[in-house]
Amino acid sequence: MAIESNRVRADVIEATEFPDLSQRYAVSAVPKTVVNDRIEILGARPESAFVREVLRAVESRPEERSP
Amino acid sequence: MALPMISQQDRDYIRDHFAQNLRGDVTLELYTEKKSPILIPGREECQYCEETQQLLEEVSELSDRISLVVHDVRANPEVMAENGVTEVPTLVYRGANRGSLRFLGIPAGNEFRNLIDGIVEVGNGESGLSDETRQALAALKEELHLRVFVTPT
Repeated sequence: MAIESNRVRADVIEATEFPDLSQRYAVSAVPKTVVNDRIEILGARPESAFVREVLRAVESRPEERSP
Repeated sequence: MALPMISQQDRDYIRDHFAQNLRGDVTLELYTEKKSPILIPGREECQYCEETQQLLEEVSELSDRISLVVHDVRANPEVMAENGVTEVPTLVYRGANRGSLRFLGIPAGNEFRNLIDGIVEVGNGESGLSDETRQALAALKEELHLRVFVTPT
């Protein structure tokens, strides 16, 4: 996804070497994907399912209502 | 000189693989901590920095299209902050990728295959994604920051 889009930053993190990071993101099993610190995806997924879940992180949220 | 990390057989295979599949240039930018000549008690050493550098040196030798740039954060600590790097070793892939792609830690075990594949995909600028995914990405209005936690085994 990072290859395709300039809006994507992808960091692949080898969990055992960075216990602080793994702890911060409560990583107990891999693969674990965290998107925008909001959405977690545990385990692997086929591409379309993965993308669907990833995009939940940027779905429009109920914004402040405009007057 | 250290023993090679990649076997001769694997090197030959990977060299051929790059020759046949890698069509563009890739720079592997490694942020690492070189070993201090002085042992400082209480100071944590980067466990896999040296091996990561050696591994990437060996890989970059397998194609003229691959360059390796090494930043020693011990000698130049400011380069970390300048580039948003917070851990060592961090590998930044630079090629035809439109977004940012990094690997934190040593790309060993399963991740070694992903390193080789990543180099080819970055070099060719081909994500291999479906049209549906590409359309969804094109419609993105915000940044997506993915952190993918993996292990070598």
